[in-house]
Order: sequence, then C-alpha cells, then structure tokens
Amino acid sequence: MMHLYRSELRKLCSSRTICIVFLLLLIVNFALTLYTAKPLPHEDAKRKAFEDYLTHPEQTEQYYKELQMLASLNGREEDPNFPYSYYGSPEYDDFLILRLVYQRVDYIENGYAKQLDSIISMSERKMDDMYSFYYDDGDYEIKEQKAILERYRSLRDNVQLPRKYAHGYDTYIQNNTVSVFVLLCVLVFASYLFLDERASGFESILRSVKHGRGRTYAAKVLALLSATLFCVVIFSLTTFAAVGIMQGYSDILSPIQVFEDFAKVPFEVSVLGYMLLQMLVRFAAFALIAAFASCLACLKVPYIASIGGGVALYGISMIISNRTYMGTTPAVRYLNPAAMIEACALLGFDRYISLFTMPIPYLAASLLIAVMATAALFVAGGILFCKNVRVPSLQRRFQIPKILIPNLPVARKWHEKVHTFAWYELKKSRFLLLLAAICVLLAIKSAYVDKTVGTMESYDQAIYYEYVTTIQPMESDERTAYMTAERERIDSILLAAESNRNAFSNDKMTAEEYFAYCEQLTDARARNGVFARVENYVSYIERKNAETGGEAKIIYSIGYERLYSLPSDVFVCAALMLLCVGAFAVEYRSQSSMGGFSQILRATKHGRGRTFACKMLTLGAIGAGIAIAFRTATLWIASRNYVLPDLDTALYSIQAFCDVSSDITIGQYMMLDLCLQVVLGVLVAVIVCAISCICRRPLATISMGLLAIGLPEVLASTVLPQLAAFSVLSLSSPLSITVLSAQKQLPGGDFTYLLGAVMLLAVLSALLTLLAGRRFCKSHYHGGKS
Amino acid sequence: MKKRISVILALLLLSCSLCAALSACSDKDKHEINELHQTEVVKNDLAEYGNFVWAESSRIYRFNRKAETFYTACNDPECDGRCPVDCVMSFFAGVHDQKLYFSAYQQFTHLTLLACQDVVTGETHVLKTMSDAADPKSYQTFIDADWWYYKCMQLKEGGDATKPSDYEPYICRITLDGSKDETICALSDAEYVFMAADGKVVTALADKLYVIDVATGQKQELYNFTQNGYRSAMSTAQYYDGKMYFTALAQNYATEQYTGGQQRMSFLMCIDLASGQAERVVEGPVENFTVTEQGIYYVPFELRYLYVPENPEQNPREVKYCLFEESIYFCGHDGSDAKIVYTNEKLDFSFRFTVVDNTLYGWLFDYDEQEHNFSSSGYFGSVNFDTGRIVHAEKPDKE
Repeated sequence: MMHLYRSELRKLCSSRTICIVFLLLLIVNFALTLYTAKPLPHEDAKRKAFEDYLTHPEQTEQYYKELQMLASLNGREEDPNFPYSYYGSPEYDDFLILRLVYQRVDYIENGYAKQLDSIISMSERKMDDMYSFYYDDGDYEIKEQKAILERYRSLRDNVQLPRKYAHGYDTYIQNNTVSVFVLLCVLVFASYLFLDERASGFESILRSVKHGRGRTYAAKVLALLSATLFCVVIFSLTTFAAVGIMQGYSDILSPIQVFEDFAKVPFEVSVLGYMLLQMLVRFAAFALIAAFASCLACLKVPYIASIGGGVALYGISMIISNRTYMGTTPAVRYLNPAAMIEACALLGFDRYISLFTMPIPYLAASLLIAVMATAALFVAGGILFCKNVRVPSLQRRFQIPKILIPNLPVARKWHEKVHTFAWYELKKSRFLLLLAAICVLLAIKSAYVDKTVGTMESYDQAIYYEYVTTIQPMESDERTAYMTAERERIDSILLAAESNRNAFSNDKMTAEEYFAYCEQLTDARARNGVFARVENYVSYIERKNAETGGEAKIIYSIGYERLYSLPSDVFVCAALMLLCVGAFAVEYRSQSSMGGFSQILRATKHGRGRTFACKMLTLGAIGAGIAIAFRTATLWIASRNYVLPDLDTALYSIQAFCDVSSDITIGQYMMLDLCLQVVLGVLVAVIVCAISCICRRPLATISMGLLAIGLPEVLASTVLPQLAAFSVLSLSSPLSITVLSAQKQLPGGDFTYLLGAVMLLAVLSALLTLLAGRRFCKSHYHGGKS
Repeated sequence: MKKRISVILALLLLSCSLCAALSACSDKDKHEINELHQTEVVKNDLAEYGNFVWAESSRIYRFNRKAETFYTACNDPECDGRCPVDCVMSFFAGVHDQKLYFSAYQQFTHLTLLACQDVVTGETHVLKTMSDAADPKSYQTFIDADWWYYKCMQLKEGGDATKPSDYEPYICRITLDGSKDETICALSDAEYVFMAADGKVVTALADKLYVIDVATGQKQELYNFTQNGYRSAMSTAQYYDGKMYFTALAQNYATEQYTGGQQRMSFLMCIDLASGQAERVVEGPVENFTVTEQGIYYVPFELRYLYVPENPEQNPREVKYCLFEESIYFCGHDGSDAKIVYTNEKLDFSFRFTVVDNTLYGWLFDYDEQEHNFSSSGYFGSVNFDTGRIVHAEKPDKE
C-alpha cells in the first residue's frame, strides 16, 4: 500500500505540468501578497507612538491632552498646525497618530471586555426570555445560550490582552486571495491523479494488475489528501512570509483577540493557534472540493469537466456564502466550503447548530460535514473507479446526416467540396458534443443574465421611465422649469398632509376634496424617491454637458447600466476553453506506447504548417462566433427586459460611463463592444490553442489556460484593478476597462489605453501563436510526458 | 461489492441523519405554549405574546413584562444594524406560531420588507421585498388564517410595463412561510387594507369601508361614514371575536376657546363583519383605545387646558391644551359598565398602548413643568392599574 502511495506522490512530483503550475502559482501568490500587503503609510509612526506610550505613558498622555486642548481651542480636530514628530510630515499629524494609538489602548484596556460583556448580557437575556417561554435546561436553545455564556465568560476571565502593538497577522489571516491559487492547484492535482492513466493509455493495464483497483484508488486518495495539505500549508507559508516581509509581525503567542477584528473569536487561542485552526478548516474544505473533482474524474470525464466541476462547486458555495440575506444569518451561510475557506466569518463568533438537541459549534459542524461529505465522495469515487463506470460515450463525429443531403449531383458535389481541412478538424473534435455543452453553457448564462439584469416591470421603474421620457425632448430652460415645478408639486402635496387632514377634520374641506387629495398623496409618496433619482441624473447630465460642451442627453439609461455592469463573462470563457482545449492535444493523445497521431500527421503533406494554420483559423473563427453569440444573447435579454433607447446619444449619457468624455455614441460603443467580443473570442481561442499546442496534454492546457486567462481576471476584479489591461476576459464586460481607459487620459482620446491593451493582448497572443507554430512545425515529437 | 454498497449506504444514511439532526429544532409541548399569554385580538401598533410586548420607535424593541427589561428586539451580537428588526419604520402584523410578523421600511435600500422574527431564538427571516414606490402604505398588513395580506402595485394583465398608469394597486397575500404569493383583487390608488379577518379583507377608501370575500373576490360596501354622520375612519382597526373596532371621525368638532382652533373628534365604532351591523361602542368621543379579550380600554376625548397665561386672549399661542382626559376607562366589548381604571393628569398615555393583566404598556410622555406641556420625547413604560404606579419607564435606544 505504502509503495503505491509513494508512487502516486512520485507521479505528481514528476509531472512537469504539475510542477510548473504549482511553482507559477506560488510565485504569483508571493508577488501579489507582497504588493497587496503594503502597510499604511502611517503604520510605522503609529507603532513608534505606541512604543512611546508604553515607555513613557504619563508624558505621552500629557502630550495627547495638550493636543486635544489645541484641537478644542481651534474648533476642529484636523488642524494643520499640529506637530508631526511621529510621521515626519503634516499629512499625518501627531494628534491623529495618538488618537489611533489611544483607540488601540482603549480597546485593549476596556473595549474588549465591553464587547464580551455585551455578548454575555445579551445571552443571559435571551436565556431568561426562553425560560419565560417554558424552555428548560434540556432544550437545545437553552443549551446553546449556556454554551455561549460559558465560552465568553471563560474568555472574559482568562484572556488578558497584552499592552503591545500587534500587527501583521490580521493582514495574513484576512488574505483570501491565496484560496484561488490553492483551489487551482488542488483541482489540477485531483484530476491529474485520477485521469492521467486514462490519458496515457495505461489505464487498462493498471486495472488488470494485482492491487490495480482498490489499493491503487486508496493510494490515490491518500496522495491527493497529502498533496492538498501540502498545498494549503505551502501557500499559507508563502503568504505568511510575504506579509512578514512587508509588515513584520508582533508576538505570535499573543491571544488572537488582540486584534479588534477578532474580538469575538470564541477560542482561547494564540495567534499561532488561530492560524493553525484556519489552516485546518481550509484543508477540510479543499479536501471536499478535491474529493468532488476526483469523483467526477472517476466517471472518466475529460479533464475540463473534472476541473470545471470543482470550480462550479466552489462558485456555488461562494454565491451561497456571499449573497445578501437581508441582515439575517442562516446556518447555510457559514456551513459551506467557501465560508470554510474564507474561515474568518466561521471562526469569528460562537455559533452553534443543533445535533440531536446538542449544541455543536459551527467549527465542529463544518468539519464534521466536510469530513463526511469528503468520505462519501471518496467512497462513491472508489466504486466508480473499481467498477470502471464511465459517462455514456457521446463520441459521434460531426457529420451531416445523409438524409439531409438531396440526391442531386450538385448537392453531392457540394458535400464533397466542403470536406475541407476545417471540416475534418471539426469532425475530429467531437463537435456535436462540444456544441451541446456550449449550448448548455449559453442557456445557463442566459438564465443568469436574465436574473441579474432584472426587468423594468416595476412601478418605480415605470415612473422613472415616464419622467425621463417626459423631460427628454425639453430644452434646458423648459426642463429646469418642469423639474422645479414637479419638485414643488410633490413637496407641496407631501407637506400638506397634516394641514389637509386637519382641514378635513375641521370641515374646511369636503370629503370629496380630501379623498382626491389622498389619491394625490399616495401618488406623491410613490414618486418622491423616484423623482429624486431623476433629479440626480439630470444634475449629472447638466454637469457633464458643462464639462464637455453639451453632447449628453437625458435618456432612460437603466437598461444600459444593468447591461454594462454585468461582471466578466466566465461562461464564454468556459465555452471557449471547452472548444479549444483539445485542439492540439487530440493529435498527441496516446492510447499506446507508440504515442499519438501527431507523428503520422506531421509526416504528411500539409500536416504541419497548414494543419496548424487551419486549426488556429477554424477555432479562432468559431471562437469569435461563440463570443458574438454569447454577447448577442446578453443584448437580447437586456433589450427584452428593458427599453434600450437612443443609440445615437453620447455614451457618457449613461452615468456608469461618467469618466468618458469623447463623443462616441451608445450605438458606436455597442459596435465596439461587439468588435471586442470578436477579439475576445479570437484571442481566447488562439491562446488556448497555442497553449494546447505547446503543452500537448489537456491537463497542462487547462491549467495554463486558467492561469493565462482566468487568473488575471480574478486579480483584476479583486485586488489589482490595474491588471484589467492584461486580462483578456475583461473584454467580455468592457465597462471597467473602458472607464479605466478614460481615466488614464492618454493622448489620442478616451480609448487609447483600451486599444493599447487590446493591441498588447493581440501581440502577446501572436507571440504565443508563433511559439506554438514553431514548436508544432519544427520540433520533432517528444514521446515523454509534457 | 456488497460490502462496499453497505459502506456507502451506511455513509449515506449517516449523512441523511446528520442533516436531519442538524436541522432539527426542539418543539415545545403545545400545552406549555398554551399557558403563555396570547391574544386573539388583531392590532398592528403594538404586539404582545408571552411575557413580551413589542413596540416600535425607529427600530423594534421588546419589553419583558416579568423581568421589566426593555431592549432592541434584535439579539444577534454580530448584527451590523441591517437586519429587518432595525428598520426605521415597522408595523406589526401579529404573532403566529411563536413568530412575530411585521412589515418594515429599510431606509438605505428603499425597500419595504415583509419579515418575521422567531420570538424565542430571535432569528429573522425576510419573506418578501417590495420597492417603496410599489407600496407606499406598507404598514397596513394583516394576517388571517396563515395568509398575510398586503397592498402592492402590480402591472395589469396585458399592461405596458413602461406606463405607470398600467400599474394598479392590488391586495395580495403571501403564506406565512413565504412559499406562495398571490393576487386577490385590484384596489383604488388611495384605498388601503383596513383589516383582514374571517376570510374577508376590509378596505378603506374615502368615506366608505368595503369588504371583499377572499374566496369569491366579491366586493361590497360595508359602511358609509357620511350617511351615518361621520366623515371617515380615523384610527387603524382592531379585531376581536367577529367584530372590528376603530374610531370614526365625527362631522362636528371641538372649538378651542382662545385661538378658535377646531379640533377633530372621533367615536369608537364597532362593525360585525358577518352581518355588517355597525354601532357606536362608547357614547362620547374617544381619543384612543385598545381592545383586549376582557373588554376595551379607552381614553376619552377632552379639550383639556394644561396652561392658560394671565391674558390668554392677548397671547393665545401660549395657551397649552391637550385632547384627552387624564383618565383611562374600561368597558365591555359592547361599551357597558364603563369605569375609570387609572387617572394621572401629568402623564400622556394615549399614544399607543395595550393592556395585559390590568397593566398598561405603551409610550408615555411626562408633563414638562417648564414647557407647560407634555414632553415630545417619550419613553416606553408600564402602569399598573391595581397599584396606580408607573412600574417601568425606559427611553429607547438603550443599545
């Protein structure tokens, strides 16, 4: 058993793809953490002031009091005349620095205890309330409150916060970007371990040998768990190191509650203990996701399905964890893999769930659920693996059914003629199956867009639309007069409520008059808030016109706002990946020790340059088509759900594009958007094809593809918005890059930066393509693993 | 193979039982719950259940009658102030199955929420959200037979979504678990839900009350104020034992002798929903009232002078007066056997109150000797009618 386990680990370590992906992600994580963990400019000054306070508390206190007096004398606290001995420049004066220091001191001396007292008293009150509802000590709710009370009383009695300046660890603990890297690594590990034999054609041999099924599976599971743990630990250590370099660390044995953000953590643990706990929870969550991906892999699905399944599981639990619950806190929000990976919310407060009326802390419950689900998935995967169960094969090649080709010489000739290179490429790629998968993605995306953009079928939208279409044709003066009159009308109706009620009561108003007024009042109440939004929009348009010279018009822009505020399209990315992952890998797929078809192909006439060009062109064209189809679906849904008027109006009439100042119209921008989708489709297809050609194997292609396409987008949309220019996926929802482009104010106009980014991405893709072409055409076949 | 199947079955069973166990809640015996104070009276300015009375003042508070504590109803230590209980305006729809149902206006989202809170655990749940424009009279919501009735603007069938005129106010209802939401019938713009009980929805429009049979959708006039010598409904309605209680605005008014100002008066009315029979419960005008299962507590209307300066004709604005008697009365549901249960001329207890076990719970306003008037900022308190003592008084925003 152990030798099988070791051999699985060796297999992982000897894979160039795994090593490259792992190292690349590790380096990116380290660099990114270095960049994002930069301390605030006044951090050193604050630390110095805190040390001063510890060494000379009376003097510091005296100094602070003097500054407070100065502030009260001057009447404002941010007086520029304050001394700035700590920071060295007036930007952060001593008063501000000392105020922050004393806030920290107050938290250590009083604030923490106050927070605990508040929790304790609230819990005691809840318990008393429950007793009044005839709950007794045997009831779960009472047990829960008792557990909370016991926990926080114990914390109040035992936790002594040191009077030290704690720093660094909070940044490390709250860093959640590292999870993306671990996730990608773990999914690559899982799919590689369970699909590699199939990809290399060794599967049938393996399954026929002694211990080739159950024990091998067990060894794979162990290897996967070990690799997952290794991944979590190494990435955590990298992040820890990067934060340490940038911020330094205080005493690691201080209680975690020394940081105000962790005041309600219900464990008597040191910072070190908390970090280990976080690591454990993260490991359990990643093990669950790895088990899910491996279970899918045991169904003998392609690499992309296995990795995609893991990503989908994470994505769904992210949605569950982060969606708004209108201020409520259901258990499902915390007991899911995404919340476990994020860990801070799960560990931040003492919450319980009932297990046979026993209060189980969320931490234990989440670990229990994760362990059980992981075990169930591994057992299910084991059965699939041992029984050689696979997804029904849908490998029908792409062919026009003969019944559809009329029995005419012309038709036959046409049918023969279209059997070109491109045609065969499509036939080879299980195109029907791919098309079906892409259609499914398009359907999911359409449903998502439909739900996200919403509809204008609501009363407030109708009122807004009515206002906008009313004032749209008006000249400026007329509009101002209308707006003023309408505001006065609404205000006067609202203000007259009390007096009219009195007038009606006092018989100075007839019932008919009063109830006619009530109708107006109902209407005015409904219109008041909506009209305020219209006023806000009109004032924006007027301001913009004053800045640019008067091209902006008042239009009903809600539909555009919703359309362009959609996030980057991961569905189109998935569809294009699905299409192109096997582009070259299919030629290298080896079902025997003799290698794939590429050797024969490359020996034929047109088997190198033309084949390469044909693949690139075909898939590039189809990629463009898919991107256009996905965008068209979005546009269609938006236009179905909203009125999208006045395409010839200046783009900056839409408030989301407030930074744009060029005269491009909405229609022109829509065309530009569609062009960008074409570029996106072509670029993603070309990049993935080129990666497929260079890496030759699906797993490597998927990993590198995700790194090249997905990672920049994740970073751009989270911690590094500047990276949008390097994210090809940002073209799928070009609002952010357009705004960024306009903000840059480069010579040549608002779109110079955007075009530059597109050019840059095109050049990088072209270079990658050249490299791939050279590798495909010139080099001889390498039989070994890539 | 069998072994593996049994292992996986065992794991599945364990998972299922774990999920079931995790989601299990301890249900209290019904007989114990029945011992808790609960009222059959429907009202929406205050709510009462067990030892608690819920009141609203920019957020929902709850008063423990036994422990005499007054706190915000939100009891989540991690609450960031965005929970439904902390909305700026809330109106109660009642307590059902140990859940307090209320409508609330959330200022920062401009949304009206139909939400509930478990009275024991404090867990909150939002059943429905509506834009403020869609429901400008959200507070008029009532629960009847597991359905929650509310008014909402909706697009007419076949209407154009871009035209406000194609939207109509409808009476809608949603189940208490939020699983079903349906439309009953259209209303006029200014018409609002006045009461829902016994399978009927009463609406108020102008000087008329209408009753809608939910089963048939049939709408008919219930009461015409003008024809009966009144002007309109004045208060929100309360319901008990087939009868709906409310105050009706009188056609005559009281005249303040120094300024000549005319003050509206209203009378306590009662309508039998089954027969449509209406009657005045108390002969004299009434400022406010609350219905309990034992009878009705009411504060009669009285133009009472609190302070009259030396030359009131020359300084009429300095004259201070209030519109209620210094006493609270109790009578039977038919107005019989009226008697004074409490008197305090230095206290305004007429704003919003309820009475449980001979103790008044509600918003109280002290007499300000400097201003010669009742204070504008009140506190929540309780007054024991047996001892005549103010048992508890506490300002809101304690936390």
